[in-house]
Amino acid sequence: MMKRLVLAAAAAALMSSSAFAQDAANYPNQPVTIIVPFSAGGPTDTVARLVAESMSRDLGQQVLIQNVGGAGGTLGAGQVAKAEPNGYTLLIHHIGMSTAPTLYRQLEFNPTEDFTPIGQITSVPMTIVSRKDFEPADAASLVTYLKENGADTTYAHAGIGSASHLCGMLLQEAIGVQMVTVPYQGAAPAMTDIVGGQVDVLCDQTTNTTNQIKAGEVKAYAVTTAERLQSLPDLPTTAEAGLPTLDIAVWHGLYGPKGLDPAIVTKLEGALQKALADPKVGERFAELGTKPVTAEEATPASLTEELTSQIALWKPIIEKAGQFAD
Amino acid sequence: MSEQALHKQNKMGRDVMAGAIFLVIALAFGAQALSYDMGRTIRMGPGFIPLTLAVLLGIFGIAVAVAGFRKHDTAEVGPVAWRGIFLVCVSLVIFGAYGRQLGLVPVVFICVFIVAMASVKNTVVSALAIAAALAVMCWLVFKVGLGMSLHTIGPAFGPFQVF
Amino acid sequence: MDLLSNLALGFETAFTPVNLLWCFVGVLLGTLVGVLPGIGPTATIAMLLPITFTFSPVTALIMLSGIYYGAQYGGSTTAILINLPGESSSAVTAIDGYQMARKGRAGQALATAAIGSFIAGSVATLILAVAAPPLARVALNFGAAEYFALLVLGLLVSISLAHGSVLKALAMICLGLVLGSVGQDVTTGTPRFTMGFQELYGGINFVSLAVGMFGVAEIFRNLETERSREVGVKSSFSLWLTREDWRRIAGPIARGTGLGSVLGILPGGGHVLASFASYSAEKNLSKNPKEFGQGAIEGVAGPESANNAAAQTSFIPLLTLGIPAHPVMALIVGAFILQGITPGPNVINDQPALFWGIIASMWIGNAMLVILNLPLIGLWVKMLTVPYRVLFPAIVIFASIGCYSINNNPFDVYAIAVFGVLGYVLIRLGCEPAPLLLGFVLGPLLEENLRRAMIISRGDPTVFLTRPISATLLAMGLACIIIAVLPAMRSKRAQVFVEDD
Repeated sequence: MMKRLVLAAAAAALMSSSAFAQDAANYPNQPVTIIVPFSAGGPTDTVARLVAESMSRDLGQQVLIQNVGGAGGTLGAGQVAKAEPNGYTLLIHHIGMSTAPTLYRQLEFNPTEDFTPIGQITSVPMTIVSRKDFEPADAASLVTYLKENGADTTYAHAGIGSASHLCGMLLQEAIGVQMVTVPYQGAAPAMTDIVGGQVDVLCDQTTNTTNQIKAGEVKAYAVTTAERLQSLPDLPTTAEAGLPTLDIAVWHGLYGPKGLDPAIVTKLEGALQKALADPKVGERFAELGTKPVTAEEATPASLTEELTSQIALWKPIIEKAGQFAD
Repeated sequence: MSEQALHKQNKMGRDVMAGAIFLVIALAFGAQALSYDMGRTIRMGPGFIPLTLAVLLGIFGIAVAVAGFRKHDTAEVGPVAWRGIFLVCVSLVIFGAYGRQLGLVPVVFICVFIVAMASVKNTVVSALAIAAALAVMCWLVFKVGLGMSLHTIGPAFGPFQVF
Repeated sequence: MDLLSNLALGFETAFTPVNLLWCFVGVLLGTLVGVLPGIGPTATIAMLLPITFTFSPVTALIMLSGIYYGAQYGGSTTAILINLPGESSSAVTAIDGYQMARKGRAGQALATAAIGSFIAGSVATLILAVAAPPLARVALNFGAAEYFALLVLGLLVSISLAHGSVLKALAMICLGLVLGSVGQDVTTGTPRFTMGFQELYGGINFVSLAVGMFGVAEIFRNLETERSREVGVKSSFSLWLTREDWRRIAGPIARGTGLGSVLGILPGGGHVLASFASYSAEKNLSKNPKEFGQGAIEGVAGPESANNAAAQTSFIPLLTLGIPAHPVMALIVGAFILQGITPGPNVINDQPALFWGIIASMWIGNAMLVILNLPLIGLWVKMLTVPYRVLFPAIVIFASIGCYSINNNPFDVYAIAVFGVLGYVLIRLGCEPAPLLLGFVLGPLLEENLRRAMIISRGDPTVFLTRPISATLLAMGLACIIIAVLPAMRSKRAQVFVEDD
């Protein structure tokens, strides 16, 4: 009996899901779930929640955040890749989407083929900081110091494939020295040990560092983008500090599973653009040291372009560093 | 393995059995751990700690068994609730595998019915009654109260699906 | 007095009708979700974050904090009543709490938990108010080497969690440590013991393990003898503590509060040790250690107090340094950020009303919790009059839903079955599950900190002995072994002597 029940259930599931996909006209008629492939409370989660709250007002349906952490964001992304393309399961992922295909050699999905891109959200700059009693006084002397003593300097990062890990690879590449890398489980414990003086250097998103810099708990050297930050105007850029190749920002994008109905994509794109234009979202983003992307960038075309160019950019860097996550 | 274990325990003493179980688990994990990179002291690989722990577990397993041989422990003799174990496990597997498709109310009804049949004191009728009561209660607590993400009645029921 | 004026500001903030209301809603929700294993404060706070968007920052944070410490009150309820612990701390409470319930003393166990929690919560909040910033500074001296030493000490001390064979307890700790290493390796990302299942990359779910080894294994045990006798717990008549009970719980509550407060401050995972450490301390200090595991009221009072004290002091690194000590605190950081406040050293100066308002609300919340929970005890104990044949299907289904809802991962439900059977077999063979659980919780922390300490020391293992805090902790561990082994050796010698004679 059980077997028949199961078969019936499976058949019914197939039927109902195909009925769903054609339901684009009255989309959304039930809550939309955005999967964030990182734990709740982290920087990506915060970005997602701010955007989701604003989007739900435009879509007229609740937009729920579901955190599916693990394996550097690939578990959550894989879940969305396999989800029904009905517009009720979406993904907000960051730069890790472009590094995953190189970092994970046995990845179960293809970032460019298994998703429907909807739009970019924001690019969070990163800052290079150190424990406050670390010797070098400014960015220039940090470069000199690391060139001489880099092999004996500890560099903390939030785990393989995290933004701080990627920034660390670029930093080591730029100064040409392998530092002693110390992995942590997430950005918070890494920052704890920088504040506590247990490790030397960290490069992390402004979301995580701005307040500690302002409070003087850590020493800040440079910001990793072309322009200086509004929130920390005295901080030089990496280019000014003589590290022009160290250019990285943690960009975020909104995706659906492959085969999402174009009408649904358009609806979501519009909702995303409205959310990014929401002054409250802009204000909160500013406090995190970032700003929403322009409406032209919050489009499928722009996200596709960013994703493909970033995959191409990171492939040689990761392969050269010889660091893989599996 | 556990089936044999429980039958033999009268003869061998339960400590010997316990030690053997620890040893088997240790061997399984240890063998697998060998295939991971061991690393060096400065940067230990993913295999180092699991292998060390498996070896420790094996040593303790042997120690437990040896201690069991030496003392003549009276083993616990008692019936094993085979029916209960089987039905509870079936229910858990059904919940895990089909919960999403069936939805909260049907899956609770089916699983509770199966589990309730594990008790010799429940008849089919009383098991159905318990299943119905718990299905309603779980719907109130988890769906209405906590808004959990399972459908009330899942996609398996096609047009009767309720979010 | 600076402190008094600050507290006055805090109470002024917390005593507005809106804040009182949401504080109550928070602690009420916390208690309720804490009762259900699996559906803990993390899921609840994550779910309620969107609602708090519309609140003022202080109201939002008062409510979210209330959910967190409220859940610590509720967490012990199912552990005591039906042996179903939802988190590591309540697994300790289950050891003696459930035995008390089986002897018809469920009411007293629950009352002890509520009273201990209230006292511990209030005292720990006082510590938070008086000395948060300097304490957080001290906690920062804990690096990887110190955490490793602390965890080793914790494991050594915890041998006394078992009331049977020490050897079996050691083996169970090891088994727990081994099970804890399942999943993706933090340092290299290598999947370990996952048998190719992506669902296992995140490791075995703690709640599934605890629910299986405690709750489901107990159901299997009860079904064994169903025919021959009435199973399950006895419903109790008297709910209130006797004079004797009060005398017995006073010391454990005081010590538990102290121990928990200290461990909670450590941002790297000290709070998970709190209830285990307190249980071990009480058992070793007790005149009748044999009573532990058979329903000793001290075994409920100490760990519950320690757990709540740690829950409260784990706010210290967050509020003073902006450092979250565990996932729930990370979520509260998220709540701060969503409200436009980045938590950090500046909060106490820039937003005094917020900082002191939260602290004041913790006292109010703790008072509300004890008032809320004491009458609830009668209700909970009434539930035990439900016949076992109805109760156990409910336990199984609550466990399934709870575990499933954590990650929507079917593996978490299958794991209950696996560990239910494993737990049943091991328990029948005289092995107790509590040490295994401790090993499982501490294993990943132990490995992470050992490996990190070795990287930072450039591969020099003497780092554990050259750093003073770490060396002290390890010396304490050694002392514990000696104290534990000495009486055994002495009694053996006595035995030999008798036999020779």
